[in-house]
Amino acid sequence: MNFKLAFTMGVLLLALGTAVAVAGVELSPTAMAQVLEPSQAPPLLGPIAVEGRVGWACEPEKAATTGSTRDAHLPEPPTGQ
Amino acid sequence: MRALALALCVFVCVPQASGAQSYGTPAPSSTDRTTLRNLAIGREIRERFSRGMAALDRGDYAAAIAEFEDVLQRNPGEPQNSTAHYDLALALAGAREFERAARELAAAIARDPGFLAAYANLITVDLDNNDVAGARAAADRFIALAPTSARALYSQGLVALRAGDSATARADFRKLLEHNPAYAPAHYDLALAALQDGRLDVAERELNDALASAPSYPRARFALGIVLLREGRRSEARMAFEAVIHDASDPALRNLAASIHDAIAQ
Repeated sequence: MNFKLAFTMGVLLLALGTAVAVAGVELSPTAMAQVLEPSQAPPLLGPIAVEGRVGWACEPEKAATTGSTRDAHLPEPPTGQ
Repeated sequence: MRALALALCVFVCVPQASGAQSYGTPAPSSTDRTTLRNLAIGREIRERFSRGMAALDRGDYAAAIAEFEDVLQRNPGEPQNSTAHYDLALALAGAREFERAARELAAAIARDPGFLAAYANLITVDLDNNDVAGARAAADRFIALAPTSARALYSQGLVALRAGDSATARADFRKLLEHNPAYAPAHYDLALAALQDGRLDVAERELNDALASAPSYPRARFALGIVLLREGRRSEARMAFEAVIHDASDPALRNLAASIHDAIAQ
């Protein structure tokens, strides 16, 4: 974890720390950082054939361009996590 | 006179329409050594692309890396050059060689500056490699090229959130939600941005919106429990943690929710 990310998570934990104190619970900051991390990074777009990215059939380039979260293959709303 | 001119025109313009047999363009043939060599290289490049993609498909990253590196050794022109760098990066990422993958994606973009899929993957690779600064630079360029792209907005918002830039994160996720109002992860990330700013009211609203779109979203439910606790609404917070204990498959999340729930109950 780099410094800036650690700082960000620190600010977030500080914001939540009062709540933890209210509850009177001893919680590991690391555990809190793990459960309240930002949502997943988007998965990698797939390979491109020898014809290249230009053309109607280039699925990864279309996914990078579209305004629809579904067609862009963004992470699905998680269940159970 | 006019009829004669018209008949003459038809005769000149379509002389073969009824009588002549048309033939396809003959296959190019040459005995020139350079031409033959270039044709052979072109065929080999196409075959190596096919084999590399098949190797990627079956998860054989070492084989895929070898094929795409061979393509690049032959220094093909565009679009094959940038595409080979892009595909090689995918194989390297599969082999968890993230730094090399990032270099290959940068090489693809250098050859084809409008290559949006390469920007998209560069951000993901940089994040996998904990290179938030690199991801931020790629995300900024991606969104400049494709300001309405869902992937560009989500990626830049996510990177900004990780970098502590809650204003950019807020703007990106809000714009993404304009066209995808039920996209729960964007609501969840907006809530985290609001928490960074100390806006518990906004965080609560966004978490409720996330849960309205995806009721079985325990991480959002857990965050809501924390917000409610912070607001002094202990019984509502306890219900939120009970739901997390019931729904969550992640043991870390479930155990943390159970710890807080038990402490509130005392």
